Amino acid sequence: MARIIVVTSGKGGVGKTTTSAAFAMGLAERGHRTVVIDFDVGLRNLDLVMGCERRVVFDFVNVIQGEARLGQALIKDKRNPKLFILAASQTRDKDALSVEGVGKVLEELAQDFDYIVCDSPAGIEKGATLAMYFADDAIVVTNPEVSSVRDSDRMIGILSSKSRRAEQNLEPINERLLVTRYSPERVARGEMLSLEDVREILALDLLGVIPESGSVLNASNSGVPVILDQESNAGQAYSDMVDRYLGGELPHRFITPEKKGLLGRLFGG
Amino acid sequence: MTNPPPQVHIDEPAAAFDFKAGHFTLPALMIRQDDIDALDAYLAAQVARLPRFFDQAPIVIDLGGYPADQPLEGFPTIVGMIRGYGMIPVGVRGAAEPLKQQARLLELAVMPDLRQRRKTPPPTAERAEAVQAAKPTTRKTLIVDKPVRSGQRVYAQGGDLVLLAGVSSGAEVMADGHIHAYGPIRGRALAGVLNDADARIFCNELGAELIAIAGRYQVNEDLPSRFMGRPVQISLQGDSLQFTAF
Repeated sequence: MARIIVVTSGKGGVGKTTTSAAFAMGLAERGHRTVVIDFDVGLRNLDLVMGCERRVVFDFVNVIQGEARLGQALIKDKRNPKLFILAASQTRDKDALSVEGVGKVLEELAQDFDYIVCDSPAGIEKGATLAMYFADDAIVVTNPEVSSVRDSDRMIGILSSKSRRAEQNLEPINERLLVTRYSPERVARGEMLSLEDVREILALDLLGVIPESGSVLNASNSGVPVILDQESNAGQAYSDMVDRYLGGELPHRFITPEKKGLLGRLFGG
Repeated sequence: MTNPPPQVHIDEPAAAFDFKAGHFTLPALMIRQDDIDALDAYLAAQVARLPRFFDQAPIVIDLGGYPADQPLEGFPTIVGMIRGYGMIPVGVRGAAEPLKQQARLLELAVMPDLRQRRKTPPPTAERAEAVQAAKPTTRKTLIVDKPVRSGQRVYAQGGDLVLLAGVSSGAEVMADGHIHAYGPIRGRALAGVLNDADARIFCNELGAELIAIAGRYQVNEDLPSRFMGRPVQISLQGDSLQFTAF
C-alpha cells in the first residue's frame, strides 16, 4: 500500500516543483518505487524540471477521463528505472479534475508504487485541494518571508480540515515544514526571517532547510532534479531531507553563515 | 484526546443556498436623549472625522440608554438623518415596545437584547432577591489546543474560549464570554460578542491585528506599544479598552 505525500505551500514560486522532483528522485535513488504527479493542470512544470517534457504523450487528465490507460501515461525516468512521472495536461483546466477521478488513479497507482508524490499547484483552489485530499503526509514548503509564511499557515489550516483524513476523522495528515531559499547570511544581517521565527509562527516539525543556491536554476534549466547535483548545497540538503523523511535523524546543515577562509576573504566569492 | 474540535468555518464549493451563522461587529449609535439638533451636530462631526468609515456603514441604533417610558417623537427623522449622513441603519436594540413598533414600520430589524448594559439602574431589593434565587447559568467553555491558523475562525458560543496554542495572523477567534490565550495572539480576538461589556481578554503575548470587547475595538496600530509582545489583560471601561499588565 503506497504512502501518498503532497508537496504544497499556498504561495507560488517557493519551490514545490523543485522539491517534488528532488524528493521523488531521492526516494527512487534509495530503492523505492516512486511516482510523482503534476496537479497543476494548464500550467505544467514538473515535466520540465524532470527533463521529460519531450516524451509526454498522455497526461493525468487523459487517464481520469478514460482516454488513456495509466500505463500509457506514466513516463519512466531515464536516470532511474524506479521513478515515474505523470504529467499534467497543458490544454485543459482544473475543472477536468474530480475527487472520484483522482481517487481512482491514486488507488491504481498505490498497487504498484511505494510512494506517490503529489506536486500541488499554488493557491487554495481545486487543484491544490485535490492534490492534498488523499495525502498521508504533507510537506509544506515555505520561504523565510512574510507572505510565504502566512500562506503556508493558511494551507496548514486547510490541510487539517479539508483532507479525506479530516473528513473521515482518521489520523490527521502528518505535516512537516520545509524551509527553502534560506540564506543564513541574510538572516545574520537582519534582512530575512530566521529559522526560529518561521518555526515559531508555523509550529510544525522541521523536515529540512534548503539553502538558496544557484544550482536550483541550473537544475531546472537542464531538466535534472537538483538532488542529483551532490556538489551543490541545495542538492545535499535535499538528500538530508529525504533521509529524514525515511526516519533518519540528521542535523540541519547550511543554516549558519559560512566562515570564509583567508583566501575566500581576499578573493571574495 | 477527545476534545471537541473547534468550530472552524472554512468556505467550500457548496449548495446553491445556505443559511449559516453570520457574526458581524457593527457600530451602535447610542441615543440617550431626544435632541435632534445635537444629534445632527454630533453625526456631522463624526462623519467629518472618519468619512470612509461611516460611508455606507451598517449601524445599529441602540436605545438601551433612552428612558423606556418616554416616547421618541423624532425617531423617523433621526433614522432619515442617519441615512442622510450615508450610514445604513439596519436595526435597533434595547428599544421599549412603542419604539420597537416604530422601528418595524421603518423596516428596521429589532436586534436581540441579551444582556443588561452596564449603566442600568441599581437593582431594587426585589430584583436583588430574584437574582439570588435564580440558578447560576452554566457557560460551556471551549478549549482549543491546536494553533488557530490563518483564515480559520473559532467561535465559543455561550461561554469562554481557552486557547492553549497561538492565534495566527489572519485568524479570528470570538467568544460570548472571555478569551484566555496562553499562546500569542497575532490575529483578531473578539470577546463578549453578544454585547457583554464585562468580558475580558487575557493573553500571554499581545500582537493582535484587532482586539474587540462587546463591539468596541482597536486595531494593531492603535494598541499601546508598551504592551506589545507582553502578557496583558484587556477589559472595557465605558467605551474604551483598558490594558493592564499581568
